[in-house]
Amino acid sequence: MKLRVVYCNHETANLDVRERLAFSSEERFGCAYEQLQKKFPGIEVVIVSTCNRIEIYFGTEQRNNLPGQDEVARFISEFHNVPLDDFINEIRHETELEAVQHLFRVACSLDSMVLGEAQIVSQIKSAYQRAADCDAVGPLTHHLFQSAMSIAGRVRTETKLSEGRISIASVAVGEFGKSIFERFDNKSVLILGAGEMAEETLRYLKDEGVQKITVANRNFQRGEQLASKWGGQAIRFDQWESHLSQADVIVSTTGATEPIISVQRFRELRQQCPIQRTLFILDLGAPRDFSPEIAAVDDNVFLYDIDDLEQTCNRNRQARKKEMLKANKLVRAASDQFLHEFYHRQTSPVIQELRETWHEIGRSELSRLFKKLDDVSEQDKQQIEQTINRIVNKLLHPPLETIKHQSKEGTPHSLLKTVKELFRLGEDSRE
Amino acid sequence: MQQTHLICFLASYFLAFVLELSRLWRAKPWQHIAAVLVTAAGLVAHTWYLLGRSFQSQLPPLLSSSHDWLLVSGWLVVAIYLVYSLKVGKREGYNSFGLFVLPVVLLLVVAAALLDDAPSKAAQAERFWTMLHAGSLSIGITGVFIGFLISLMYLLQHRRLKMKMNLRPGFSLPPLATLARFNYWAVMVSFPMLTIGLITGVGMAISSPTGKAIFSWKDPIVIGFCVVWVAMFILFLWLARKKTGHGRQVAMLTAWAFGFLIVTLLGLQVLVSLIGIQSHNG
Repeated sequence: MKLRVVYCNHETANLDVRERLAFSSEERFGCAYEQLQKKFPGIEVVIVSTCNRIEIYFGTEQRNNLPGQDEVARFISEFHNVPLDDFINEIRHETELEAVQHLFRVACSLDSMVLGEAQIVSQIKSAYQRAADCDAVGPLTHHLFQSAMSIAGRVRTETKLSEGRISIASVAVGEFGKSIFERFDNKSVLILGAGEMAEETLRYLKDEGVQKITVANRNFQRGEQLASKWGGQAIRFDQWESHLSQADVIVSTTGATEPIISVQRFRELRQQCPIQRTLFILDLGAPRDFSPEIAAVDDNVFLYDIDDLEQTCNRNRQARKKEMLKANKLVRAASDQFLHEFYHRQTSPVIQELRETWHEIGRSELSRLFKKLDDVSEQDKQQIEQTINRIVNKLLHPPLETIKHQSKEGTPHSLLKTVKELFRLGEDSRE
Repeated sequence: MQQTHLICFLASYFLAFVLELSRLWRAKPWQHIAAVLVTAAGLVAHTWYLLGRSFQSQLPPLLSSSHDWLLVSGWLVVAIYLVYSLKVGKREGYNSFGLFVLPVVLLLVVAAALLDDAPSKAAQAERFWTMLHAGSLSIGITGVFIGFLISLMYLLQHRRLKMKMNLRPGFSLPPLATLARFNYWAVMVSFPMLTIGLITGVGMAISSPTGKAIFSWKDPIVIGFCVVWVAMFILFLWLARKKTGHGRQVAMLTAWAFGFLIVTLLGLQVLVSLIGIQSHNG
């Protein structure tokens, strides 16, 4: 088994870089999978792209070589048309056990900006599903991602990581929104985008008492669904600018590749407002939906993007050090178990075949013997069978133990080949 | 004996301030509670001191001297702070008021200690008008101090939100909307009160034969006060006219106007008392 992950995340790269490397639409994902499969045939691939990370997992059970970090970086550079020098120092890679641990940490939100957030599990689930739809996954990535979901569930139930402020929305609203407004029940909220992040933010704002909700989404039907679920109204995406003057809070989570409004246009719209009301903009998009310069348009505009929340999230992380230690321990154990199970899965066909072959030899020799001996009682037959089985098991024990021991370090390809050759497995050796 | 009392509550307020400051270094829940309790103890001593002065001069504290009415203003600031602290309890964002209020209270008490504490004879003659004059001025000045502190808090909070910074553990500020509301009311209450104080003061000075002799428009305190009153009048009118959305501008104007008023009042009073510039108005 070979496994590699090449990634950049909120710790290695700032939002300016991440938004340029993000796979922002289904079309882009499809295109990326197509090109990766063409470039690296026979390799399993899963791309995880969220606002905080861009990660590409490569795996194979065969002896194919996985693409190296430089090859992947070149692919990303060509695919996104971003010069290699702009991000090469921001990307990292892990292999084998470290790669497994990395994915497990990501799934458990230990690597997230907001420790304990629940959203990452569903993001990983959809990333895997998307890869499966593009026929990019195989037995290794399937087993790996299933195990990641499973350990994420365990960490959630066995630690207190999920207590308190555990979503980007709750951190943003709790740390900044509540320092701007004293209450939210009289505030008008405009949601741009209707994805999971939008819904998560909406859920938190609703808990804070927000009543007036407007949803603008490019896919109107999807926006309408979200609006009706949370008691709001849906508008067409091209109408959102006309609602800016009535909004107190804007949450933007669109998948746009460019800012959705220019600074100049925003300034014009603000100047047209009869009352210059305080506006709290939460830009959760990657790439950003609002240019950072918009924050300087006037005194009453407060704009925050994902990176602005990092300091708060680090404080949050410090406060949960104890739970993190517990979760890390679970992740390490699960990673070891995953690899052990996986290597065992690769050796088990050989073990199984060896065991069956030898027992079969024992059984055929016994039947030949019993045909020659007429006066053997049933009880004696059983005794002889048991003795032969014991002998076979004792003879099998040393080679099987050696295979098991060797498979702890990785798939023992040479040993398996030797065993197959020595005992002529896979051939008709029972003559 | 009264000096001992003044030092008593001055020390209490100072200790409470140190406790509040220590939260910036290492925040523990007990520090704020201890600071509030020590401030409350200081307020008891403060009240006792004012009652003692009143009993001695046979006059309400407001009528005795500049020393007394400054202490009454300080007493009002502490009392409002304590009542508000009890009301908000442990609400997030509301437990760092002490860091702002206590230095101002210390300033008022120290300024009062430097002023002449001899009871005014003129006060006994026109008791009602003097009471109205001193009472409205005291409430007005308390409002000015509170408004000044709220403006500072607003500007700090606004700056940190614009700069996207986190507050230190142990330090919190109320939301901008709350501070803007408090600021508005501080101006709305203090300006009419100061105006009543000013009008009654001038009226009393002009109408009484003794007052006429000692009142002068050239008096530095009168000039300083009039300048600030005009500035506040403009701020008051502007605030009354404007709709919402100018929180930072209001906070800036209030901080400047109220800061100037505080410097004028305290600075001039203390200067007059220390170097003996001719003034009869306080």
